[in-house]
Amino acid sequence: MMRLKVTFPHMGYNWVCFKTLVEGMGAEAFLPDYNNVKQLDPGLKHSPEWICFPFKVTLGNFIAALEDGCKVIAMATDCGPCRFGFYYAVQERILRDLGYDFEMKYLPQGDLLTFEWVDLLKSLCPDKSLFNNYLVFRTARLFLMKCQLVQDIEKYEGLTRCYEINPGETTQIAKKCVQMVDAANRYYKLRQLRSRIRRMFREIPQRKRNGTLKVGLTGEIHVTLDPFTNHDIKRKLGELGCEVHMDLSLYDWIVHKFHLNFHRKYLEYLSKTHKKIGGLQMDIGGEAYWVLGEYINWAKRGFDGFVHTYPFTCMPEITAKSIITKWYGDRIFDLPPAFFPFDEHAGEAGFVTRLEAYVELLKTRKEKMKNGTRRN
Amino acid sequence: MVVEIKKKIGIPRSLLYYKYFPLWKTFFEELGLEVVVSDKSNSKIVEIGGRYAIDEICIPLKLYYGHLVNLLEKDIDYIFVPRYISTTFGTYMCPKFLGLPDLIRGTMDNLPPIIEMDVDLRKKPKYASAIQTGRQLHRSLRQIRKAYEKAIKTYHYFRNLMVKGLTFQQAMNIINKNIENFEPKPRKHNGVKIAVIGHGYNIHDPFINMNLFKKLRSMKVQVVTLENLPLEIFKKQTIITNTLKNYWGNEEEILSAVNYLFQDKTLDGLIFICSFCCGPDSLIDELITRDAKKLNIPYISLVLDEHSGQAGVITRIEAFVDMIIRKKRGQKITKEVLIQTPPSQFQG
Repeated sequence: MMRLKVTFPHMGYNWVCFKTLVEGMGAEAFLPDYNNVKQLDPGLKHSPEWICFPFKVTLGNFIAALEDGCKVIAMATDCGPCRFGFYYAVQERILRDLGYDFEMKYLPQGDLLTFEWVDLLKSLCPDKSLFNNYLVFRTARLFLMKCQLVQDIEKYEGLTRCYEINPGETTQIAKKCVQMVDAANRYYKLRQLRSRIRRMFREIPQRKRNGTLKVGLTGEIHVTLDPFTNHDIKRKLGELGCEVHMDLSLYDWIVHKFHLNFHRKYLEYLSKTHKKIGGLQMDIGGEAYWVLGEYINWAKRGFDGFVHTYPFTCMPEITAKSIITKWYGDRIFDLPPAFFPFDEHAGEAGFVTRLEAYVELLKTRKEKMKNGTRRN
Repeated sequence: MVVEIKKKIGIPRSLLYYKYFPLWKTFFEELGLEVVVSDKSNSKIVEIGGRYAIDEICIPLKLYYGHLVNLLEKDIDYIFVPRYISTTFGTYMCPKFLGLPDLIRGTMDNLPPIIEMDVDLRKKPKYASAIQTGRQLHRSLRQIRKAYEKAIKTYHYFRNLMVKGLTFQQAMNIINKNIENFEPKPRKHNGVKIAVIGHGYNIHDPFINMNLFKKLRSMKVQVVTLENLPLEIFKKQTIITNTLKNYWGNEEEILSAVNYLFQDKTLDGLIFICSFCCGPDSLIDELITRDAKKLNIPYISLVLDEHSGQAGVITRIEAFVDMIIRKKRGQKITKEVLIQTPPSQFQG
């Protein structure tokens, strides 16, 4: 039987989950190298001029994979008002015009309760008997479990980095954990991993510091989760002494698409009840609806900072940005936001300077609040 | 006798004004309100808009802010900010339209009460939106129904006028003067037919597009816009690829029009106008460019911004039109009429 060789785009640590999805169905997963500048170049060259950044990054991934002889591409798609639903079709068109011969498989994830993804998974499987129903069930379960573990890793990573004694240890542990999740392919092993990962992060030598800043990080999903696209903003914030809190993850997104994410429901409620001051009333694509909810939520919980990352020209996130800017300007909520739009025109130094300045301001603000000398 | 003072409702002259204004105007006038429209776009309005909007937002929205501020100076009682979610079944508008009332409410102070209208043909009929709007103004169902029917009738008359070849401003003048059964005279031109395609708020606003139409007419070119095309062509679903269904309402119209124009053998060139940072257009532009290249049709895409220099745009348009005229002259001399193979379908 012929095994399909399937590739998919990178999104931070989440390649582990996608790999399970492909390999669990008996196909061969083909991973291009992790996003880098060399890979991005052809993506930039062939994309439309002012499309959002994830389009260019994923196109770069696909071109790299096709150059290495991969024939099948798997890509997620949406039905919503944002540009994401057009990605796979326009990318397919661009790649065909470049002369590549391949097959595009797309995963409709607008509403996962329609179970269209089952057909995609079955089409990857070389075995067409009834046995593949069991495979679908098994793969989906493994996939969800791995997503949960990756979410845990990302969460612990953000929380522990600012306390570590040996710099760089948290990053190493996180990478090791991802390798462990990748290697485990049975459900009971993954269940054991959960507590083990927690223990590994706890055993990192830590020092309690006074005045650590609590910073919430959220934004568009690809940019927020992919360290190449966002210049590793999470690590840099951690090294500057911020405890990074992050609710966003692939698991969070998938559970939301199964209509079971009560955390997101709560955020929607928060956004909706603030109608008088401009809270969004409906999902307008992207993460705008929940970004506003997160902002209100974290402002109420007394966070010190709020970092919003999104691709340049992203339509929904810009709407959220406008509203948050006004809210903070009028002191309706007292949580200083910082906005980082990302594009291929990346000046690393400029970005780091802005981030450092932001953190410094937060530190001064916190000290002043402690001394009671803060003026409004 | 007590003279009843009519309450004033303000409508900004931006975004969907250029598509649905006759409808809104008749509707509110029938409900007993006075409709106040902001001034025509000018550099001051753009400047004020830029102060209120954040830097990354597209130019039509910056203008929207400017027009809103302009309206506030005219002391109005209500302000009309519609939320157009979808205008045909199974489509969406751009996310910025979806959150427009929230965006305005969240970013501006001292606003009069906002009259909202949620148009969502995915879930509810048009009449429901009319009721929602009328109810906010405390009108009875009977009044709303009457106003709604008349508004729809006016809108259809307006659309038919535009199909006959009038521009937005000419059609609006006829509606304002209450002329019925108007028949326009054909315009003189030099036989070059150029289509200008894009969003209504970019095409019909002479300030944004630097008086492009006047320039084209002075070159004696026959100009066709999206609204001048027959109404039937917008009813068909466009095909982008075999698997993807287009879900943007405005872009659906643009694609249908381009699809129709590409099959029209008398068409000489296509000008596509979009604003910088426009999300949907960034993809649609790419698709149209690729199709035009395949069919060998002259195509230019103009990107508008508040910084655009007038000379740059005019030079490009002149060069484009000159090239087409020269191409046509060459064809006449050699008597070789280039017959294009009819494109089978607008397909990727």
